[in-house]
Amino acid sequence: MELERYRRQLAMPEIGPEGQRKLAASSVLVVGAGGLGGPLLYALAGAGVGRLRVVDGDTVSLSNLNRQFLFDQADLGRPKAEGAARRLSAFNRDITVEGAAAWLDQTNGAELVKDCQLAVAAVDNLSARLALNAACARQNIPLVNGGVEGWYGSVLAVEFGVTPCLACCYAGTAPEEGGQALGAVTGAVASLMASVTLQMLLGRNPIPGEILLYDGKRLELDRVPVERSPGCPICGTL
Amino acid sequence: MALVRYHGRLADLTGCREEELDGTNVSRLLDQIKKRHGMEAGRLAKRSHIIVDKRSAGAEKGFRTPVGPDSVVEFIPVCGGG
Repeated sequence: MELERYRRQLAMPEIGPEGQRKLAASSVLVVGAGGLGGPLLYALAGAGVGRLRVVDGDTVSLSNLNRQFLFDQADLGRPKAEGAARRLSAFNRDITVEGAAAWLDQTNGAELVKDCQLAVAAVDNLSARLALNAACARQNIPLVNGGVEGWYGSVLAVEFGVTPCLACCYAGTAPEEGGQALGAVTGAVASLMASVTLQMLLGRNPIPGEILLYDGKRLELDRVPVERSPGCPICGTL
Repeated sequence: MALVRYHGRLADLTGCREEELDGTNVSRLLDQIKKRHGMEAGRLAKRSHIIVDKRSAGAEKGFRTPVGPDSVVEFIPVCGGG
Protein backbone atom coordinates (compact mmCIF):
# COMPACT_ATOMS: atom_id res chain seq x y z
CA MET A 1 0.00 0.00 0.00
CA GLU A 2 1.38 3.41 -0.97
CA LEU A 3 0.92 5.31 2.30
CA GLU A 4 1.77 8.64 0.69
CA ARG A 5 -1.40 8.34 -1.40
CA TYR A 6 -3.48 8.29 1.79
CA ARG A 7 -1.45 10.77 3.86
CA ARG A 8 -4.23 13.40 4.06
CA GLN A 9 -6.83 10.94 5.32
CA LEU A 10 -4.43 9.04 7.60
CA ALA A 11 -4.24 12.32 9.53
CA MET A 12 -7.97 12.13 10.26
CA PRO A 13 -8.46 10.69 13.77
CA GLU A 14 -11.44 8.57 12.65
CA ILE A 15 -9.25 6.86 10.06
CA GLY A 16 -5.54 6.74 10.99
CA PRO A 17 -3.41 3.66 10.20
CA GLU A 18 -5.88 1.22 11.73
CA GLY A 19 -8.82 2.61 9.77
CA GLN A 20 -6.78 2.60 6.58
CA ARG A 21 -6.00 -1.08 7.11
CA LYS A 22 -9.71 -1.74 7.61
CA LEU A 23 -10.54 0.00 4.35
CA ALA A 24 -7.81 -1.91 2.52
CA ALA A 25 -9.20 -5.19 3.86
CA SER A 26 -12.78 -4.35 2.83
CA SER A 27 -14.79 -5.64 -0.10
CA VAL A 28 -17.73 -3.59 -1.36
CA LEU A 29 -20.34 -4.45 -3.96
CA VAL A 30 -21.60 -1.44 -5.92
CA VAL A 31 -24.66 -2.03 -8.06
CA GLY A 32 -24.93 0.66 -10.70
CA ALA A 33 -21.99 2.47 -12.32
CA GLY A 34 -23.95 5.48 -13.53
CA GLY A 35 -24.56 8.97 -12.16
CA LEU A 36 -24.37 7.86 -8.55
CA GLY A 37 -22.07 4.88 -8.99
CA GLY A 38 -19.35 6.80 -10.84
CA PRO A 39 -18.51 9.48 -8.25
CA LEU A 40 -19.15 7.01 -5.44
CA LEU A 41 -16.72 4.48 -6.92
CA TYR A 42 -14.06 7.15 -7.42
CA ALA A 43 -14.43 8.16 -3.75
CA LEU A 44 -14.18 4.55 -2.51
CA ALA A 45 -11.28 3.73 -4.83
CA GLY A 46 -9.46 6.92 -3.87
CA ALA A 47 -9.95 6.19 -0.18
CA GLY A 48 -8.31 2.78 -0.67
CA VAL A 49 -11.20 0.35 -0.26
CA GLY A 50 -9.36 -2.86 -1.11
CA ARG A 51 -11.81 -4.64 -3.37
CA LEU A 52 -14.67 -3.21 -5.39
CA ARG A 53 -17.14 -5.34 -7.30
CA VAL A 54 -19.03 -3.23 -9.86
CA VAL A 55 -22.26 -4.66 -11.28
CA ASP A 56 -24.05 -2.98 -14.17
CA GLY A 57 -25.68 -4.61 -17.19
CA ASP A 58 -25.95 -1.41 -19.19
CA THR A 59 -23.81 0.07 -21.97
CA VAL A 60 -22.68 3.70 -22.19
CA SER A 61 -24.95 6.02 -24.18
CA LEU A 62 -24.61 9.69 -25.07
CA SER A 63 -27.39 10.72 -22.67
CA ASN A 64 -25.30 9.28 -19.80
CA LEU A 65 -22.43 11.70 -20.27
CA ASN A 66 -24.07 14.69 -18.54
CA ARG A 67 -23.41 12.98 -15.21
CA GLN A 68 -21.57 9.67 -15.59
CA PHE A 69 -17.99 10.87 -15.32
CA LEU A 70 -16.39 7.43 -15.33
CA PHE A 71 -16.93 7.40 -19.09
CA ASP A 72 -16.16 9.50 -22.14
CA GLN A 73 -17.09 9.59 -25.83
CA ALA A 74 -14.79 6.67 -26.62
CA ASP A 75 -16.81 4.44 -24.26
CA LEU A 76 -20.12 4.86 -26.14
CA GLY A 77 -21.74 1.47 -26.69
CA ARG A 78 -19.36 -0.33 -24.36
CA PRO A 79 -20.39 -2.15 -21.15
CA LYS A 80 -20.33 0.18 -18.14
CA ALA A 81 -19.06 -2.45 -15.69
CA GLU A 82 -15.98 -3.19 -17.78
CA GLY A 83 -15.25 0.49 -18.43
CA ALA A 84 -15.63 1.30 -14.74
CA ALA A 85 -13.31 -1.53 -13.70
CA ARG A 86 -10.67 -0.46 -16.23
CA ARG A 87 -10.82 3.23 -15.26
CA LEU A 88 -10.79 2.59 -11.48
CA SER A 89 -7.97 0.06 -11.69
CA ALA A 90 -5.86 2.68 -13.47
CA PHE A 91 -6.91 5.31 -10.92
CA ASN A 92 -5.65 3.27 -7.93
CA ARG A 93 -3.39 0.30 -8.54
CA ASP A 94 -3.42 -0.59 -4.81
CA ILE A 95 -6.92 -1.99 -5.09
CA THR A 96 -8.73 -4.74 -6.95
CA VAL A 97 -11.74 -3.85 -9.09
CA GLU A 98 -13.99 -6.49 -10.62
CA GLY A 99 -16.56 -5.58 -13.24
CA ALA A 100 -19.64 -7.74 -13.81
CA ALA A 101 -21.77 -6.87 -16.84
CA ALA A 102 -25.04 -8.15 -15.38
CA TRP A 103 -28.41 -6.90 -14.18
CA LEU A 104 -28.84 -7.70 -10.51
CA ASP A 105 -32.11 -9.46 -9.77
CA GLN A 106 -33.57 -12.08 -7.45
CA THR A 107 -31.74 -14.90 -9.25
CA ASN A 108 -28.17 -13.61 -8.96
CA GLY A 109 -28.19 -11.17 -6.01
CA ALA A 110 -26.94 -13.72 -3.46
CA GLU A 111 -23.99 -14.75 -5.61
CA LEU A 112 -22.99 -11.19 -6.48
CA VAL A 113 -23.00 -9.97 -2.87
CA LYS A 114 -21.19 -13.03 -1.50
CA ASP A 115 -17.92 -12.30 0.35
CA CYS A 116 -18.56 -8.55 0.51
CA GLN A 117 -18.55 -6.57 3.78
CA LEU A 118 -21.08 -4.07 2.47
CA ALA A 119 -23.25 -3.43 -0.57
CA VAL A 120 -24.29 -0.17 -2.20
CA ALA A 121 -27.43 0.33 -4.28
CA ALA A 122 -26.68 3.04 -6.84
CA VAL A 123 -28.99 1.59 -9.43
CA ASP A 124 -31.82 3.32 -11.27
CA ASN A 125 -34.84 1.17 -10.44
CA LEU A 126 -36.74 0.01 -7.39
CA SER A 127 -36.93 -3.69 -8.30
CA ALA A 128 -33.13 -4.07 -8.38
CA ARG A 129 -32.87 -2.19 -5.09
CA LEU A 130 -35.36 -4.54 -3.45
CA ALA A 131 -33.64 -7.62 -4.92
CA LEU A 132 -30.31 -6.44 -3.50
CA ASN A 133 -32.00 -5.68 -0.17
CA ALA A 134 -33.32 -9.26 0.03
CA ALA A 135 -29.95 -10.77 -0.89
CA CYS A 136 -28.15 -8.64 1.72
CA ALA A 137 -30.72 -9.51 4.39
CA ARG A 138 -30.19 -13.24 3.87
CA GLN A 139 -26.42 -12.85 4.37
CA ASN A 140 -26.67 -10.02 6.95
CA ILE A 141 -24.57 -7.66 4.84
CA PRO A 142 -25.14 -3.94 5.52
CA LEU A 143 -26.55 -1.95 2.63
CA VAL A 144 -26.25 1.71 1.67
CA ASN A 145 -29.02 2.87 -0.65
CA GLY A 146 -29.06 6.12 -2.58
CA GLY A 147 -31.31 7.55 -5.25
CA VAL A 148 -32.01 10.77 -7.10
CA GLU A 149 -34.86 12.44 -8.89
CA GLY A 150 -34.19 15.82 -10.42
CA TRP A 151 -32.89 18.19 -7.75
CA TYR A 152 -33.54 15.74 -4.94
CA GLY A 153 -31.80 12.74 -3.49
CA SER A 154 -32.04 10.36 -0.55
CA VAL A 155 -29.68 8.05 1.31
CA LEU A 156 -30.50 5.22 3.70
CA ALA A 157 -28.04 2.97 5.58
CA VAL A 158 -29.42 -0.45 6.47
CA GLU A 159 -28.14 -2.67 9.26
CA PHE A 160 -30.44 -5.68 9.08
CA GLY A 161 -32.22 -6.45 12.34
CA VAL A 162 -31.28 -3.03 13.71
CA THR A 163 -32.52 -0.34 11.32
CA PRO A 164 -35.35 -0.36 8.77
CA CYS A 165 -34.55 -2.10 5.49
CA LEU A 166 -35.57 -1.00 2.01
CA ALA A 167 -38.67 -3.19 2.12
CA CYS A 168 -39.72 -1.49 5.40
CA CYS A 169 -39.33 1.87 3.71
CA TYR A 170 -40.35 1.34 0.10
CA ALA A 171 -42.95 -1.42 0.10
CA GLY A 172 -46.03 -0.19 -1.71
CA THR A 173 -44.24 2.86 -3.09
CA ALA A 174 -45.10 3.65 -6.69
CA PRO A 175 -42.27 2.95 -9.15
CA GLU A 176 -40.30 6.01 -10.14
CA GLU A 177 -41.66 7.89 -13.12
CA GLY A 178 -39.31 10.80 -13.70
CA GLY A 179 -35.85 9.90 -14.93
CA GLN A 180 -34.63 13.47 -14.34
CA ALA A 181 -30.91 13.62 -13.52
CA LEU A 182 -28.31 16.37 -13.26
CA GLY A 183 -24.61 15.71 -12.70
CA ALA A 184 -24.32 18.36 -9.99
CA VAL A 185 -27.01 16.59 -7.96
CA THR A 186 -25.97 12.98 -8.58
CA GLY A 187 -22.42 13.94 -7.62
CA ALA A 188 -23.53 15.49 -4.33
CA VAL A 189 -25.72 12.52 -3.42
CA ALA A 190 -22.97 10.08 -4.43
CA SER A 191 -20.57 11.90 -2.10
CA LEU A 192 -23.04 11.55 0.76
CA MET A 193 -23.37 7.83 -0.03
CA ALA A 194 -19.58 7.45 -0.09
CA SER A 195 -19.24 9.21 3.28
CA VAL A 196 -21.82 6.89 4.79
CA THR A 197 -20.18 3.83 3.20
CA LEU A 198 -16.69 4.68 4.42
CA GLN A 199 -17.94 5.37 7.94
CA MET A 200 -19.82 2.08 8.01
CA LEU A 201 -16.70 0.22 6.89
CA LEU A 202 -14.91 1.93 9.79
CA GLY A 203 -17.62 0.72 12.18
CA ARG A 204 -20.09 3.58 12.51
CA ASN A 205 -23.45 4.17 10.88
CA PRO A 206 -23.87 7.97 10.79
CA ILE A 207 -27.58 7.85 9.89
CA PRO A 208 -29.11 4.94 11.84
CA GLY A 209 -32.88 4.83 11.40
CA GLU A 210 -32.99 7.97 9.29
CA ILE A 211 -33.53 8.83 5.66
CA LEU A 212 -31.06 11.53 4.68
CA LEU A 213 -32.63 13.91 2.17
CA TYR A 214 -30.69 16.21 -0.12
CA ASP A 215 -32.40 19.16 -1.75
CA GLY A 216 -30.09 20.42 -4.48
CA LYS A 217 -32.38 23.32 -5.33
CA ARG A 218 -32.48 24.81 -1.84
CA LEU A 219 -29.07 23.31 -1.01
CA GLU A 220 -30.41 21.74 2.17
CA LEU A 221 -29.99 18.48 4.03
CA ASP A 222 -32.74 17.02 6.16
CA ARG A 223 -33.14 13.83 8.17
CA VAL A 224 -36.44 11.98 8.46
CA PRO A 225 -36.63 9.32 11.19
CA VAL A 226 -37.99 5.93 10.14
CA GLU A 227 -38.69 2.75 12.09
CA ARG A 228 -38.63 -0.90 11.14
CA SER A 229 -41.92 -2.35 9.98
CA PRO A 230 -42.86 -5.23 12.33
CA GLY A 231 -44.51 -7.11 9.48
CA CYS A 232 -41.67 -6.63 7.00
CA PRO A 233 -41.37 -9.80 4.87
CA ILE A 234 -37.60 -9.28 4.53
CA CYS A 235 -36.35 -8.21 7.96
CA GLY A 236 -39.38 -8.69 10.21
CA THR A 237 -38.03 -11.90 11.73
CA LEU A 238 -34.36 -10.83 12.04
CA MET B 1 -54.63 18.08 13.72
CA ALA B 2 -51.77 16.14 12.16
CA LEU B 3 -48.52 17.90 11.34
CA VAL B 4 -47.79 17.40 7.64
CA ARG B 5 -44.25 18.04 6.34
CA TYR B 6 -43.48 18.52 2.65
CA HIS B 7 -40.11 17.81 1.06
CA GLY B 8 -38.76 18.44 -2.43
CA ARG B 9 -40.97 19.86 -5.16
CA LEU B 10 -44.09 19.40 -3.05
CA ALA B 11 -42.81 22.17 -0.76
CA ASP B 12 -42.68 24.46 -3.83
CA LEU B 13 -46.16 23.48 -5.03
CA THR B 14 -47.79 23.91 -1.61
CA GLY B 15 -45.79 27.04 -0.80
CA CYS B 16 -45.00 25.74 2.67
CA ARG B 17 -42.67 23.30 4.40
CA GLU B 18 -45.28 22.12 6.88
CA GLU B 19 -48.85 22.69 7.90
CA GLU B 20 -51.52 21.17 10.11
CA LEU B 21 -54.30 19.18 8.45
CA ASP B 22 -57.34 17.28 9.63
CA GLY B 23 -57.73 13.70 8.50
CA THR B 24 -58.18 10.25 9.95
CA ASN B 25 -56.11 8.48 7.35
CA VAL B 26 -53.63 9.16 4.53
CA SER B 27 -56.36 9.22 1.90
CA ARG B 28 -58.20 12.01 3.73
CA LEU B 29 -55.00 14.02 3.98
CA LEU B 30 -54.44 13.61 0.25
CA ASP B 31 -57.94 14.94 -0.42
CA GLN B 32 -57.19 18.00 1.66
CA ILE B 33 -53.85 18.62 -0.03
CA LYS B 34 -55.54 18.51 -3.44
CA LYS B 35 -58.31 20.83 -2.26
CA ARG B 36 -55.93 23.35 -0.68
CA HIS B 37 -53.05 23.29 -3.12
CA GLY B 38 -54.43 22.04 -6.44
CA MET B 39 -54.39 19.00 -8.70
CA GLU B 40 -50.64 18.88 -9.32
CA ALA B 41 -49.81 19.04 -5.62
CA GLY B 42 -52.39 16.34 -4.98
CA ARG B 43 -50.97 14.12 -7.70
CA LEU B 44 -47.40 14.54 -6.49
CA ALA B 45 -48.37 13.94 -2.86
CA LYS B 46 -50.07 10.69 -3.86
CA ARG B 47 -46.90 9.54 -5.63
CA SER B 48 -44.64 10.49 -2.73
CA HIS B 49 -42.99 8.23 -0.23
CA ILE B 50 -45.35 8.80 2.70
CA ILE B 51 -44.20 8.24 6.28
CA VAL B 52 -46.72 8.32 9.12
CA ASP B 53 -45.27 8.49 12.63
CA LYS B 54 -41.91 7.13 11.43
CA ARG B 55 -43.43 4.18 9.55
CA SER B 56 -43.74 3.94 5.79
CA ALA B 57 -47.44 4.03 4.88
CA GLY B 58 -46.72 1.62 2.01
CA ALA B 59 -45.60 -1.02 4.49
CA GLU B 60 -48.62 -0.41 6.74
CA LYS B 61 -52.11 0.05 5.23
CA GLY B 62 -51.21 2.22 2.26
CA PHE B 63 -53.62 5.11 1.75
CA ARG B 64 -55.80 3.67 4.54
CA THR B 65 -53.00 4.05 7.11
CA PRO B 66 -54.56 5.78 10.13
CA VAL B 67 -53.52 9.33 11.02
CA GLY B 68 -54.09 10.67 14.53
CA PRO B 69 -54.38 14.24 15.80
CA ASP B 70 -50.78 14.10 17.05
CA SER B 71 -49.38 12.32 14.01
CA VAL B 72 -46.44 13.59 11.98
CA VAL B 73 -46.76 12.79 8.28
CA GLU B 74 -43.81 13.25 5.90
CA PHE B 75 -44.15 13.46 2.11
CA ILE B 76 -40.79 12.60 0.56
CA PRO B 77 -39.92 12.55 -3.14
CA VAL B 78 -39.40 9.03 -4.47
CA CYS B 79 -35.74 9.08 -5.46
CA GLY B 80 -35.30 5.92 -7.50
CA GLY B 81 -32.88 7.12 -10.14
CA GLY B 82 -29.19 6.49 -10.26
